[in-house]
Amino acid sequence: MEFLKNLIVNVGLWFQGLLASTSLPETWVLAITRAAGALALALVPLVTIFFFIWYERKIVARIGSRLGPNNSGAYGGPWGIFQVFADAIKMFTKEDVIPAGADRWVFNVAPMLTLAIAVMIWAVLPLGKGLIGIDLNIGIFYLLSLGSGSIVTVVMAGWGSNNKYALLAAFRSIATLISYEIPKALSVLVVVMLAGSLSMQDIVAAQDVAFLLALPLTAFLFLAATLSELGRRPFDLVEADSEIVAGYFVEYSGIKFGMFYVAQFMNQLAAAAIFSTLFLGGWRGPWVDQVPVLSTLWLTAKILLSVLIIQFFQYTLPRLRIDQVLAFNWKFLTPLALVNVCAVALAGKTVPASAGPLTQAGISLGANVVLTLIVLGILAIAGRQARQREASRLATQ
Amino acid sequence: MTLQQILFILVGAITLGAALMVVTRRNVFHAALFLILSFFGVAGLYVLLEAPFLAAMQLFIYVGGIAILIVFAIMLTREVMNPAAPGANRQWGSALLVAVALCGVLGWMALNHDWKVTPGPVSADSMANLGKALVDPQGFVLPFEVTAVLLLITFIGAVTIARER
Repeated sequence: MEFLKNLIVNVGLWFQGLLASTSLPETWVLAITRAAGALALALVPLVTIFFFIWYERKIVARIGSRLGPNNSGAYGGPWGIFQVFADAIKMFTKEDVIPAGADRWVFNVAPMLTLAIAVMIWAVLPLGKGLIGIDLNIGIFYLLSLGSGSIVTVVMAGWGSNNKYALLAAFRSIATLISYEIPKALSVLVVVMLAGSLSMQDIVAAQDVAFLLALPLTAFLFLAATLSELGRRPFDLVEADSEIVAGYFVEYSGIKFGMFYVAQFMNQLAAAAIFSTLFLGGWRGPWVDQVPVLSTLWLTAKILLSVLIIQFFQYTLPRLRIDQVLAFNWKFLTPLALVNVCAVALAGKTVPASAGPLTQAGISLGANVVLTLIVLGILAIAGRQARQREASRLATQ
Repeated sequence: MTLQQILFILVGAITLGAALMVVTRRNVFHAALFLILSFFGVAGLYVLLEAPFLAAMQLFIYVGGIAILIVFAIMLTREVMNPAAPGANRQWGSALLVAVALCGVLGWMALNHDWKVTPGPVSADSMANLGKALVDPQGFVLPFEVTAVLLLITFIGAVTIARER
């Protein structure tokens, strides 16, 4: 029973003990344990993704008044839970087409890099109490800098395909990725200011009050920027089905397409995990101190909830045009994020250092709410003026 | 040879090898990709020096910003992708002179400078120390603020140039 209470950590310790009882030197024991841990960590997204894709398909289906996967032939399983496995096998057997005139090396390396970066995110995600790949002291900043790596893979895929639609789509998605990095980084900065650290475990530890309650506006900014970087509607430009089919990876087929497909879902899962960690208190929850393994379950529940939010945006909102998306970022999100940083910093300075976390959260919440009201007011006035201008223009015609 | 030395040689070889490929590739897009690999190598050197913040900054600014800008410039410039275009222009002589002079100065400095070695391991809160040093009046607050003003001027300049009249 005691073993089960902290199951995952104890399995790791048991493995290390098993190695230590053999005659291996100590450095080798450490090296093998670390390597096994890294392998296990990399397998977490690669395995959970099968369940996750099924979960997404079920939600999409429910939003569209359908049943979703419920049967996949002879391999069905209950509620079509093995459909994704059938899809994966199909993907492996498809022909691998390389377009004529493609830049072969660049074309082939791009999907691998995309998948590698999607796995690398999981190194710093705190998956439970005392359960993290490596608690870097730059944690969240590492995640932001991985984003620049994924921009490179988009360029490589778009260019290597020797297809002008792929290249145009790559330009498009780079434009959004670069622009939305700014409000994303600025909203992360606010979280870091409140937590006083860049380390992911410290950010979780600082959330006696979940940051969603202390910083609702910041959470909204972060969510909007994340949706855009994931290429989810309403910012669905990277993969605008009706115009450019599959965007920058239109020329990929077979397992290389599978890599992009899986990486997309893994990024979405990771984004939900990052959102849960930054704003929903990560793995924190009741009875975590007594039964540490519960922390992973709490995190899973929060991730599934965040995914649900992302899905509702994705499958109920219409798509914006590219100019609207960029204008929304540069004229609304970025200035708001800048003002938000100043407001939270000023509000934070009014709190005496001795004040408890509740007071601090209350002050931050107040600053966020006041700022939201001001922004809504400005938007209302600007909207009315625009409508009046339009009306007078029509009247003079 | 310790593990750290092996890693240093590996990362150094990647950095220099990629840098060499940058100047020898005829395909400019490939050269840009090798430049990105070289930036990754430099980030690896920072990690070996136990400066993870600088490593992440290297990726954030050089890979995410400068390299992407270079790629955009390549793709939006005419004739630059033409493989038949000559690799050198009329200024190769003076460029060689400047390059050799720069290499000489850097090499001379690397050999003759009194390089400081930190005693013992880097403290765990190097991030906090860096942050404090940047805004400390006794530290680097003046260069920090001057850089900020410089960036602001650049922004305003860019907006002025790009603005429609």
